Amino acid sequence: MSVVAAEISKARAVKAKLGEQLASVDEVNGIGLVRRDGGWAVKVNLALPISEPVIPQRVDGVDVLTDIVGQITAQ
Amino acid sequence: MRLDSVRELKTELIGPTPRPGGLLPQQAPPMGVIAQRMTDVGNVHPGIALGVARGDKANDYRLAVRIQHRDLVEGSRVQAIAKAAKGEVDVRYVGVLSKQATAPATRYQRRIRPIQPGFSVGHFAITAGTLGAIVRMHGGDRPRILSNNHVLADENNGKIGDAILQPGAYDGGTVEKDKVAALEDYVQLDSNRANVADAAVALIDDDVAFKPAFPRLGAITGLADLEAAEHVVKVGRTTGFTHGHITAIEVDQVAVRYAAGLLRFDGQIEISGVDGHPFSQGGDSGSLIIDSDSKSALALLFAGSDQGGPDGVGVTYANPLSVVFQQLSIAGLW
Repeated sequence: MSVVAAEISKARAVKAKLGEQLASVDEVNGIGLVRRDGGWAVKVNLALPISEPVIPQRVDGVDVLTDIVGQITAQ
Repeated sequence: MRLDSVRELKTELIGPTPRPGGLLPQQAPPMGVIAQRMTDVGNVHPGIALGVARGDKANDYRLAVRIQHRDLVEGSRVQAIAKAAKGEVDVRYVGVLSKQATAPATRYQRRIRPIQPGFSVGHFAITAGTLGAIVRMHGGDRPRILSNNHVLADENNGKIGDAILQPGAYDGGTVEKDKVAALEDYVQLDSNRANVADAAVALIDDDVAFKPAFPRLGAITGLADLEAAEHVVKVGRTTGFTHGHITAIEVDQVAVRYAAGLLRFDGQIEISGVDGHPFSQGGDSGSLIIDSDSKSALALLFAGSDQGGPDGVGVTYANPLSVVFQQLSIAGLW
């Protein structure tokens, strides 16, 4: 897959759209913006691995990355 | 479970004649401690500490099980403890300090005068967190300590005027000898909506000297541009001076575990450590995160995980400092 360097405004729009789509996915534990190849991508954090590919790799031309961060605790 | 029942069970499990599956009392190695109520931290064992945690309702308590090694989490000893408590346990993996981390970090757990950012601090009822910065309020002419709500205000349980200790109680601080400030204001942690900041300020006592400069960094001024910042540093009570880089901004839907339960945060900053080292651990909460390039302030550290990030050693979460300043009417760093 070729790398797409998106403007931050476009990445924000995709983040909002994807956030709504994934609102019912219990494993999702955060969705934000990540710097990528001179532009911005969307980062979806997971508390646990998801068995099915419910997270798309690209939305509206913006790359979507995933990371399993586990449980987050106040330090 | 009733409080006396939890205490009785705890004593039974760690007593000199443990039941099958019980634990022998021994001295534990140094451990990263989460900034939490001192009553949540009990006697410790190799890899496992037992204490008392609050339950979901008033006068409801759980046996707190704090685990230093990941492979013990699903192990038979923890299962035996859970069985003995009839499932009424609050099990958390808290991690353990590496030998490398212990030596340089110890300096930030000691008593220091003048008080200074980066060192141990805490509300008298909690373990210990980190003194983030000395700040100036809008319309105020006296210095305040900035840190987290869960460090200075005991997760909304603190009362205005409560004693703030340096070092925190877990590091030996006492109300009689080590009070340095009084809780003044905090951002309420809310379980019914998305939170944006875990922050509080405490008014420094008139007779307590302070030094606003940061260890190893000196004076920090101004706020960094979040979209431009990449490389960051912090000085914290547990892991000391660490480098990191920003792995995400504007992170929404972050569920963070507190003693009171899971709380949601929106608009957060995510940071990972470098060279295989975590950027933060328990006790670093409240640290100010600083943009390495501009030497300006960026965020207030409050939470973290033990997995994820480029090296897989965990990520740290922080509130944008501009949001913290706005929420608490802070004019800037002192």
